[in-house]
Amino acid sequence: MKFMKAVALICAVSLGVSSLAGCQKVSSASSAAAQNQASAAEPQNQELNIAVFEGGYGREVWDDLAKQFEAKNPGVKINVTANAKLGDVIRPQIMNGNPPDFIFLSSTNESGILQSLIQDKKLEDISDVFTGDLKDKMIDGTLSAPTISPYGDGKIYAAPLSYSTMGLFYNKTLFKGNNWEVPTTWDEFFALGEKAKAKGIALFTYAAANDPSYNEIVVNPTIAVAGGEQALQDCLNYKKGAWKSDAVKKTFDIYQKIKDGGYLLNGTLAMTHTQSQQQFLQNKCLFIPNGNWLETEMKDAPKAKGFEYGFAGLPTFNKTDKKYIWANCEEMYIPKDAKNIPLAKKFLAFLYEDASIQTLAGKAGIIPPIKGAANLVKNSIDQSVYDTFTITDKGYIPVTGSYALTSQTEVNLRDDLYQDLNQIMAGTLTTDKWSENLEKDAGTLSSLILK
Amino acid sequence: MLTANRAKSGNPRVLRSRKKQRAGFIAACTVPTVILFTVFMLYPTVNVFYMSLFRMSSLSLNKEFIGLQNFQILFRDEKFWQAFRNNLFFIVFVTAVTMTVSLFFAALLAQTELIEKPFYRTVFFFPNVLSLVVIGVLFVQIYDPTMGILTSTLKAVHSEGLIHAWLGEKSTVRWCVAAAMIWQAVGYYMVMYMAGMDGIPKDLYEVASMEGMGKFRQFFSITLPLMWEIIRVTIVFFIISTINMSFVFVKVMTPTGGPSGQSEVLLTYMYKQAFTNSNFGYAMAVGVFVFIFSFILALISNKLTAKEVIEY
Repeated sequence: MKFMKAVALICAVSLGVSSLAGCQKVSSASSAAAQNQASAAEPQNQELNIAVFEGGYGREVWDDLAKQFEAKNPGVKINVTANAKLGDVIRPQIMNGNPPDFIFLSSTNESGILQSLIQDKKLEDISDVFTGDLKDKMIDGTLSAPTISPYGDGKIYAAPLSYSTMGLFYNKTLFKGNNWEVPTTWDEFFALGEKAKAKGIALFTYAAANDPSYNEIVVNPTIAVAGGEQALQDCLNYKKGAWKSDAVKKTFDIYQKIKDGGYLLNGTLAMTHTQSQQQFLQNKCLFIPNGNWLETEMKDAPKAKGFEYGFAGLPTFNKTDKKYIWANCEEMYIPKDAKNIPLAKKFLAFLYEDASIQTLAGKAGIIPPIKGAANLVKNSIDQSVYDTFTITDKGYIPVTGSYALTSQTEVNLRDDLYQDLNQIMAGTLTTDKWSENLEKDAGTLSSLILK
Repeated sequence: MLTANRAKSGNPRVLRSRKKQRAGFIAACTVPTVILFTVFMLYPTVNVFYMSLFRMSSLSLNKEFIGLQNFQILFRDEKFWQAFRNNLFFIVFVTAVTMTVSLFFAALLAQTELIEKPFYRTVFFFPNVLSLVVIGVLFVQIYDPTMGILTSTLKAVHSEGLIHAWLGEKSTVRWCVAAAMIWQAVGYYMVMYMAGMDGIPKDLYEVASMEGMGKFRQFFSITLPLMWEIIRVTIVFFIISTINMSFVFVKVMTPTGGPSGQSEVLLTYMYKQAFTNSNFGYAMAVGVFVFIFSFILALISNKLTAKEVIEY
């Protein structure tokens, strides 16, 4: 009886203590933070916590960069947190006031971390990193993009790490074998579609099931081609009537034509991005809108015999139209509450050095928007990645931009735009209704734009 | 017995301290659970109600009090109501089909003398052991529009006309997601019902057979009424688990909420608003709605199915 009592008591006590286990973690985190504060005062023995997105590129590149930085700066230790669901991992850290010192997680990630930090004004001003030489080396326009300088004051709060253009990928071998030319106008595009149909090959596919916004690669530049860059910027800034303009109508009609002509790969509406890419690699369709990560992402996937990646810009309406290509950056930034800001800024600047560019390009196909970077690394990147960087030499003007940031609202125009695109492909929506829906969203959002 | 003990110790002081000892022991056992429950269940729930009164981002660093405005927006939000209707569809359809199928299998396995009973029990329960994400991914592959088993089977029996882009079409996506949920749940409820049926004495069935009752009559007149309490409990389980699991299944199988939001459910809509849209306060309003809705639903179904308990 006494023995049982003792056992019961021990169980109760251990249960009670285990409920305090949670508290332990919090206190050790704050003591680690206190230690960091203390060590920040000393220039030696510094620790840097970096959090990076692990996507199609993997984490090897960051481990290598960390080692190179540590070698250059003896006494420094870098802790790399890499995760495919990075947003979920660092969100609690940010909420606790204990964010990583350096974050690489783009604004297009579904976790919306960068947008939240911008809205809450919790990013460190890194304008002082982009001075002198570095500023001149950056490709024009990249430092004034809305997510880089979000408050309209010319100050830089996020830095562009991965710069890429996105367009239509195709199989060079398939085209050569059939004597097909890459179309330069939409009429040529659909004519080619007819020829391909005769061979049982579809013209176009995309990630309808899990990310129809891949079509942004086609939609945005095409609006610019049809109505000039201003037409596109008006759309992105929710200007009244922008989504009902002729430029938008012409763009939407292209998609209507893809549906009506039966040019869409059968089954696209249920395909995820990897599934649609898989079909593309098997020559089931000619074109897929994508970016320079495609080759790395699908490197282990089975391909049609002799498959050779080709990269093309978008067709235009007339042969004399200005050619635009969609470009964007994946951003890196430093939270205001970071414990080691000077070292984080040093690391950020380090990533733009030639040796880092070699590592980034060689291990991950990442090329920063530095003039001449592509030529520097030509030998260590895939041909298709090189093509995406040099397409601007073929007369394509890079156009970029993102939707104007608003305060919290349940309306999401970008989401509606691409969900409705799926509906057009399913035949359950008309292009007029599509424009109407977006015009309605824009009306709501324009009054909520953050000043 | 009590009086005998009293006679033994007699002294009220000893009695009181023994009572105190017992009370103290009970307290020591339950306090940790109470702490865990408060910290991990009560506090977050209260927090959800609190945060729904604010406009804030997912990082909760800057909050703006807006009272019940989120709820006003909620009632006007067409997408929210679509998610709600989808949720209702899943609750009703998945519950109805799963309950029917698992009752049927439970009756089969509990009341017949099949030799392979243990084998069937294992096979039917197996899906419940798999992780929900695994099942979701499995069904995504089954529903693959070109290479999946479903499409290939239809092609093999020359029924190409029936082929759809399963998870990509408005008309088929909800049934497909529901099928995955049913497949996962049947085993669990079947085992529960079997346990209930095993408790029904066999002589009732013998008497019924002798009186000339068919197997179906026996099921509806004997088995169901005696199992009613268990079925009532499982209805509440159904409601809760369907709402919870719909999140995982929808997220894995149709990450964007399906074609034109056809498979969006309340929890995935909440997630979308909270994180992708950075509209956390509004998402918490959705959470409050889900809480109140499931509470009311459970209460109603409990009241509606209340019957006199039949004892045997």
